Amino acid sequence: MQSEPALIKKVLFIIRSGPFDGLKAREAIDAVLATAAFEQHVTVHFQDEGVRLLNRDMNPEALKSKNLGKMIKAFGMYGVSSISVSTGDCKRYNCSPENAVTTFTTLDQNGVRELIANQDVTLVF
Amino acid sequence: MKFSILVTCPPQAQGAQSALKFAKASLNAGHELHRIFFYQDAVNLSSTLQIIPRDEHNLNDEWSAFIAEYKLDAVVCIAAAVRRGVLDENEAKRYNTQGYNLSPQFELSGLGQLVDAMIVSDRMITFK
Repeated sequence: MQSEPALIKKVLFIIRSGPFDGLKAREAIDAVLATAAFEQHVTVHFQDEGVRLLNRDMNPEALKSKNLGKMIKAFGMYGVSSISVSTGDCKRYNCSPENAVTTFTTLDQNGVRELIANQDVTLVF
Repeated sequence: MKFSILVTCPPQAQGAQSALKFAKASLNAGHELHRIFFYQDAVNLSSTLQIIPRDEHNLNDEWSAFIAEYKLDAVVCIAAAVRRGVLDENEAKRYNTQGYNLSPQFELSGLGQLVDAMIVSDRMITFK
């Protein structure tokens, strides 16, 4: 007999889309917030162009774009348990704790592999 | 095994066809398909206004026929859909548009349906 699924799952969002790549990043963040609002155990990892979403010095309003950094700042309020960035991409995009919209940890390739291995669901945007 | 599928790529991308092939193969192998959730540009797979040239493969029709044949739960994210001009009759009234174009095999609903699919399913497979 199959056991009932757990009502709370560990869900990892890997966000690779940058702030100016159409709606991709915006909709990834929407999915993060919705999943957290349903009280799932949500972790977010930024890599590739997605790291640029953390840069608090961006001024998307000047391009009449929505400021996604404000939405990322709300992750804590929604109970998103941890935020991480790939070490190499952090350097590539000059992301530091001083210029980021939120606190984060850095993960090398092994760390990312371990993070993924510990999840029930991993969604890549 | 109980699967759910998340499709995020546009109809023109290989992922949209791979998702359909995976869905068919999983049912043929005796698995259960709890839900297919269409998000981001994949919402266009549910539009009846996507006109495909006659000498090209019509993936929209194939998805619709597959969903109807197996009576599958095919949910299209409502926020992603209305942004891209995919509306059902209710949304057309709400936004006062001239018409609506959601294929009847699909249903507009919120991201809660995606979360529910994650919780209920043994595996969530993404095609992007």
